[in-house]
Amino acid sequence: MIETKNLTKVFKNITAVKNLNISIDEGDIYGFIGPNGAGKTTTIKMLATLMRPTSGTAFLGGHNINGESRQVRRLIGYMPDFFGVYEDMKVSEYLEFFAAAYRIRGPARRRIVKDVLALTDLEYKRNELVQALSRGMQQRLGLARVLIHDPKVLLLDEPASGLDPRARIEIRELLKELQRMGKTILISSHILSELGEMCNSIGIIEQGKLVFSGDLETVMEEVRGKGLLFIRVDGDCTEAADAICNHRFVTKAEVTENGELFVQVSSKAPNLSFVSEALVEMGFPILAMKEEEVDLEDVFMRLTKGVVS
Amino acid sequence: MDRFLGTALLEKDLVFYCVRKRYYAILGAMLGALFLAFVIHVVSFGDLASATETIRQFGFSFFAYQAALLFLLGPFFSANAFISEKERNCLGLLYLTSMGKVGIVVGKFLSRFILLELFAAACLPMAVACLFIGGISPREIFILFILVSLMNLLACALGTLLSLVLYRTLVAAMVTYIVLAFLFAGFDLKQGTAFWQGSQWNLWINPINAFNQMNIDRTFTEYWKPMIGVPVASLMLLLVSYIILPYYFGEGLSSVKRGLLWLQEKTARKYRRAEGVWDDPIYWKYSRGFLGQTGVVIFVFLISAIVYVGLLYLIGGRTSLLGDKKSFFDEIVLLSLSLYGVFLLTTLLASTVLAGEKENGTLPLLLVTPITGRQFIIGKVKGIIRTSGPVALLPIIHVIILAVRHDPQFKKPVIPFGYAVLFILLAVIAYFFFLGQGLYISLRQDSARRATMISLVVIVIENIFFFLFPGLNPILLTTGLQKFSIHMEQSGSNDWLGPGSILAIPFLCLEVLVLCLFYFESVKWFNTFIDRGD
Ligand SMILES: Nc1ncnc2c1ncn2[C@@H]1O[C@H](COP(=O)(O)OP(=O)(O)OP(=O)(O)O)[C@@H](O)[C@H]1O
Ligand SMILES: [Mg+2]
Repeated sequence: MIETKNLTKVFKNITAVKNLNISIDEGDIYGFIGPNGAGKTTTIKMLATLMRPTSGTAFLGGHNINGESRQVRRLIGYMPDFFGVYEDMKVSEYLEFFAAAYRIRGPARRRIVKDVLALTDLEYKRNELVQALSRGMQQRLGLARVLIHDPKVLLLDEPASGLDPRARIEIRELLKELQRMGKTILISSHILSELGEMCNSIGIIEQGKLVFSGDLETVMEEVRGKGLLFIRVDGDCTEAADAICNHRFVTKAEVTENGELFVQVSSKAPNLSFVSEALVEMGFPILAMKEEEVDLEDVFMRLTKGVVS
Repeated sequence: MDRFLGTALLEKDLVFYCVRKRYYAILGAMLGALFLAFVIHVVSFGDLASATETIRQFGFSFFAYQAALLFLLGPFFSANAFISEKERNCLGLLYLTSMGKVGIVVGKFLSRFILLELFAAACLPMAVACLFIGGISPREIFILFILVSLMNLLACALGTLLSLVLYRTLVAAMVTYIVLAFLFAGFDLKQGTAFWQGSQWNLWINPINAFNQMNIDRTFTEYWKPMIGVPVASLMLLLVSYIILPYYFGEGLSSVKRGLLWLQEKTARKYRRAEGVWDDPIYWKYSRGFLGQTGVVIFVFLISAIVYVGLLYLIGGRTSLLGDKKSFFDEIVLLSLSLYGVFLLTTLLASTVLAGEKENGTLPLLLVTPITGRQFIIGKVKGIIRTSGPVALLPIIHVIILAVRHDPQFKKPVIPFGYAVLFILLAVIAYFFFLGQGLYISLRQDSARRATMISLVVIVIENIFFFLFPGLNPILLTTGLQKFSIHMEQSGSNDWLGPGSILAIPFLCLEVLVLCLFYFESVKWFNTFIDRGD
């Protein structure tokens, strides 16, 4: 559904996006993550045909963003990271205005406005002025606006910023629901835990370069594959650490603050079971052992260097 | 002392002004234009015998130009005094500091006033240069300078007050312009009924009037009145600002806002019922807010106009600006001036159209909709016409009535009706030219404030240009505004069929051409909008 080909954007002195190649299938929720200034917003703007790439191109539903912007725009619902609201309008008028801008006429317009208000839980605010809405509610209004013309592709730039935990969960459910309806969603966010729960694929970008793109499960495996173990042994931990340290498949062994043995297994090891066997052999019975849990945050920390451009 | 002068605020605002290039641009445009006027005057000396008279005349018109320019700038600078803070949500923070209410009001007011005085003072050397050639005395220059300063004072005080009450710079500036225009135009009631006779009350708050009297009578009989009246009036305006400042945080001023929204709501209801308006959502959006803030401008204008014209006719007074001269041209000078004011309003309104949308961050939202450039621009233009059109209509209708009903005394025999038709034609073309120009500025700027600033610079330059070469300005040409031109008496350019009007024809064609260019540029820009990131 979305495919970028060497997408590049150079500003005066910095390369904001460099040879970006991502591909998103129809019906995916694609989480686009990266540190501040990584180039997420720039990429999304280019996909929304609001910014011309310096080189490279992208296709949305088969339409080239260079040259077929009209077709692309019909396809997308775009929510900028910072978006304006017409402050002296009422919530329902704001939506009706955009519905009219999308050439939705007559009773259909009123019905659709009602529907999206219901979908985003803003019904009770429909006669309120937009400027009287809280930040999170304006964010929801933005989401309602995006949905108004029933676009196939949603480009959401940090839609969850400013939302309370409950609203975030609701939005997550909403996006999943939209996914079930067959929409393709590209969502950028800093809140990794929530992306981890709804995305089925992610792209990590740093300093304009794609660090990883693909299935969420795959990347989890990849990071998990590094093999980090926390072990409680019966006996002196320090001795155990010294002993296991020399094993050829162990790259690091140390004692943690709470008296556990921490073992990092080299990627050459066939499996993790040798650790327990070796420890028992060396005379350290094992009380408990757990593999470090990996979530998107770890993936993110592991794959990016933390350079803020 | 700090508490009462709002020193911190004063410094912040003045420093802010001093580091902005655009203020130098405005000052530069002003100085350049005045210098040009000066050079033209010096070059146009016939013999030395007439030189002193020319210089004297120049000295006065120099200050008239300067006053006109400062009249343009003053309300605009002062109108953002509080609004700029409100927009950034900083007024509350200021209020919480130890500066105190007096400090805030005085600081805001003084920073604007000092800036304008600097503008006025920067032009002083050129005026003083006249002294060396003679014809005008230092005392006269001093008094003229004081009168210009008084005008600044009143503009700043009024702008500061309105800035506190209203919520948009442009609107506050416009209301200030309108109120000042009517105040300054004023009327003396010499010819009125016995009761009103000779009251001349507006001399007290009208430095322009004193200025004009000075110019006509070559005496100083009246100048002292505004020197007392204006400071008192300004002080009172500031006092009102001081009193209502706390209400901004309470319920008081928000009821002003609620009132505006209520008005807006009333008009919006009509729109919601009519389905057809949705075919043009851009226009709908614009006209929906019609009776909101913009409505205030029109409301104030209409009220002022009705009161003004009503009193004028009822009492049989005359606009004091015109003294005792009586001719068709004199009658309509004021009307064409107000028409010119409407043109300025149109440029300013148009200049915020796209820039405001960009500043708000709503432009990308519109760009990704199927709205086309043509639809967008036409919708906006319709909205602007709806806002400023009715105001423009008033002077035009007045001119027609004058032309047809009164027996206008032209210097050369002309057909009044033909004159009226020509006037309307030129007015319409000029109107659209000013609209297109604002739109074009809007397209190039990223924030409404910048756009209006640039418009002001352009307007100042244009004004000077038009005053210097009245033959090139269709509106000035037809209305006899050339009275204000420096060539007025020498060339007797009141004759509307003179060589000036021949020159105006290619100029008019050029205007139409530029207008078309503005339109197509804007449409093209919208259609192919690309955020280049620079
Ligand atoms: N209009 C512009 N002109 C110049 N440089 C820009 C412009 N817009 C973005 N950049 C630069 O491009 C880089 C990428 O910016 P971008 O906004 O895409 O980052 P981001 O990933 O969205 O960051 P964030 O998480 O903070 O929103 C940054 O270094 C930024 O400074
Ligand atoms: Mg961003």
